[in-house]
Amino acid sequence: MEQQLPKNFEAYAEGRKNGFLKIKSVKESGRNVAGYFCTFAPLEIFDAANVLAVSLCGMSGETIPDAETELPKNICPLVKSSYGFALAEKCPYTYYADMIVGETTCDAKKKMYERLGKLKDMYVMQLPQGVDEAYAKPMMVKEVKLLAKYVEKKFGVTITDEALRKAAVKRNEYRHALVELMELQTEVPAPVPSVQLYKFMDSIKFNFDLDAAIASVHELVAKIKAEKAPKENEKRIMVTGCPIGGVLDKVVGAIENNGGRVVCYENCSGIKATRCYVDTDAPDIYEALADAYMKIGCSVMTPNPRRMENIPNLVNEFKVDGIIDVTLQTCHTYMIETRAVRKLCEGIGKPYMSLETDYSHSDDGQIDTRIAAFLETI
Amino acid sequence: MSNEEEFQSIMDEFRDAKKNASLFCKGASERGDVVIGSFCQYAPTEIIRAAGFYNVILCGFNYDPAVPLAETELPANLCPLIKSSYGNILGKTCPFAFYSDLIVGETTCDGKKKMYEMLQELKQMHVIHLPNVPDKERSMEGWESELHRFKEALEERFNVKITDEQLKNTIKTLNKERSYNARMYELGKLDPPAMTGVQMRNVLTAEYFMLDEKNKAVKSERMLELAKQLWDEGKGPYKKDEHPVRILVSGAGLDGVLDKTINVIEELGAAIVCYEGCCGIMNMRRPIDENDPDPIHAIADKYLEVPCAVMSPNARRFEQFRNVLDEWKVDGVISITVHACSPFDIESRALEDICNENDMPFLHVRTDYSPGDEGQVRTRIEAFIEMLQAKKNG
Repeated sequence: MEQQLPKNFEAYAEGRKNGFLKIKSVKESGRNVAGYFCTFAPLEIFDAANVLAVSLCGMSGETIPDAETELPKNICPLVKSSYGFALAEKCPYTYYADMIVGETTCDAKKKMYERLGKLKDMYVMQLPQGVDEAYAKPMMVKEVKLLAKYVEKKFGVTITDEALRKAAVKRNEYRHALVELMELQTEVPAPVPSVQLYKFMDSIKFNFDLDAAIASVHELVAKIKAEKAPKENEKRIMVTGCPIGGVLDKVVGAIENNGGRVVCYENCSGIKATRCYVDTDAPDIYEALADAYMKIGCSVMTPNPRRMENIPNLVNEFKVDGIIDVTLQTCHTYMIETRAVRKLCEGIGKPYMSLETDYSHSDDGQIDTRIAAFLETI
Repeated sequence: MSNEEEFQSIMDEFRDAKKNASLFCKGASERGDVVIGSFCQYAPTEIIRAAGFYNVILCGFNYDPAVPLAETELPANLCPLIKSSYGNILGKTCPFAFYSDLIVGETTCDGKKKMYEMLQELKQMHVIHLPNVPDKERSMEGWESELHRFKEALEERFNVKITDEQLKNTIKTLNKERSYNARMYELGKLDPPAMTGVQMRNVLTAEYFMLDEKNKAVKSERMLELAKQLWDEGKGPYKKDEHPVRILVSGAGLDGVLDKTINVIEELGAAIVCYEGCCGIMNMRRPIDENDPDPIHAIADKYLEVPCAVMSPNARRFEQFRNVLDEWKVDGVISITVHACSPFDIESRALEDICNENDMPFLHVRTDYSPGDEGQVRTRIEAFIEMLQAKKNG
């Protein structure tokens, strides 16, 4: 079926135009598209339904002014950026998504989804407020099933347990490949430049063929292994906290430029969620999915012991010299948790720095100075 | 004592309730009675009071010294109610927290649920998990199990038994208390209103601190009677031929910003006829089903219908909001949200959309407990009220 282009298409830059044309042709080939925001979205459901799942998180400040015509200024830039892209029709994936799946992670996102529901077919999956109380697991299982039902109805497909199990096997394979790549950084010195590693992990999400994506991760791993390791021993940094796609250059770029190397991304799209494998042999695949996603140590959960357990283990595993906790402005849950992470790092005797920033460039210089000073103390 | 004097003396008692409650708590604590502190109606007071315990509210409404102190541990860019509550407990400036044997939190908003994790280091706490979605099909099971867990935690900790009978009795008492507030809001329907918004606010705030349940019932009943009587005699807060512009105030966390907002609105000649949002009309109108054989289920069912902005989607609020605009013959809506309260702030836009559809003037005021914006807030409210007055007087 022929798809429409957004009304301002002609004014878009070349890269954006190509993005629109690429996904337009995917849609015209008959494939359905679902957008998602968060690592809590169980992508296996979409894989099993043969629906293309694409990440919609806004990582640029460009559309924030659009969002601020309807949303408060004082909320997280990721939430504003994402909504702004939808409103301004500047994100090809949001624009062409047949449905969007949200999840009740943080206040700003869950309330933003209500507005997004006026622009797109929106389905919001409920997460428990914490994963350790007895109600959490049954709620999560039920919610994964409800999402599957919605997808079945929406696209007129049937999601069999068998297909779901197969999808989980494939996703696990993908996760294992990425983890193998991330684990290369346990080497001393760590072989992969920080920005490059992040950009690769981010771009691979947009490879719409999971088999090809897995192959390209393996290929990269083999290539890095074959190359001679760099000589300099850089300061080994763990990045934890919020998603950093929108502040990559000013934070990770500054770490690189000042003699540091990110050896471990503990935050959102990093190792934290990627290591949450699904038990594909479990008797009930829905329960296995719920279990896997409940292991993500996100600060929206209360309490959130998993993050606090994970950090010291990763510090040892990746031989981390210092921890940089990056929070996006007005991300209440990660901001409040900085106190606990700081205490934790003091406890294990590792230097810690908390950086609060947003998608603007007004603090680029300040962040660079602070990171330089932090790295000097290590 | 004349009716006017008696009404005034009840109003004074309500106004002083908070001050007197700390002495009451001290006495209760010395007698060995259990005092439970909580923040939000989602921690059902029915369950606490059914156990024979006193329930006090620990929400902080002061800036100094609590907020600056809290900011040594919490982000500055956070809701002032959360900071103030935490700061008062940290600095031991909240007598109610001091006398509380247990503090009950609820996972309403991001800021509160994460603040509670820190509070746990200072006080004994129990956190009730509230669902995110108010759809009963999806959430009732988990929510009900959380209320059972809460009841059992109280029983175990304090070695008591909370029977269904006690719960049912407390439900009746609390329904009655809610009905007083609902009837008070009804007085705002009169033209001119039989109570001012400032008076209503005093009563609402006092509600939580009138710990002698019988006295509260007697005074509430008498207060309502007198207000109506005085109005009939033309001795209400407004002259009979006075028709101030009628404001609906919407929002949450208002008690910390009364001087800047509520008081200013009425000082400028408008009348707040009803409140919507936290402690607003909708909660007061919805009783708990007294005939439900399972009282915990009945309690869960009511609170899942509380139209708070932490719920998503919050369709019940929008539906009732439209009704309130008609029923109270509102001339304009002032939505007041406190700094960094994302749920109410984002949802305020949805209220604005409804107002726009209905040609209802709407003003959104974002403010904070900290001083500095009084002048700016006042100017905006003043311009809004002048516009409403011009519209009303044709």
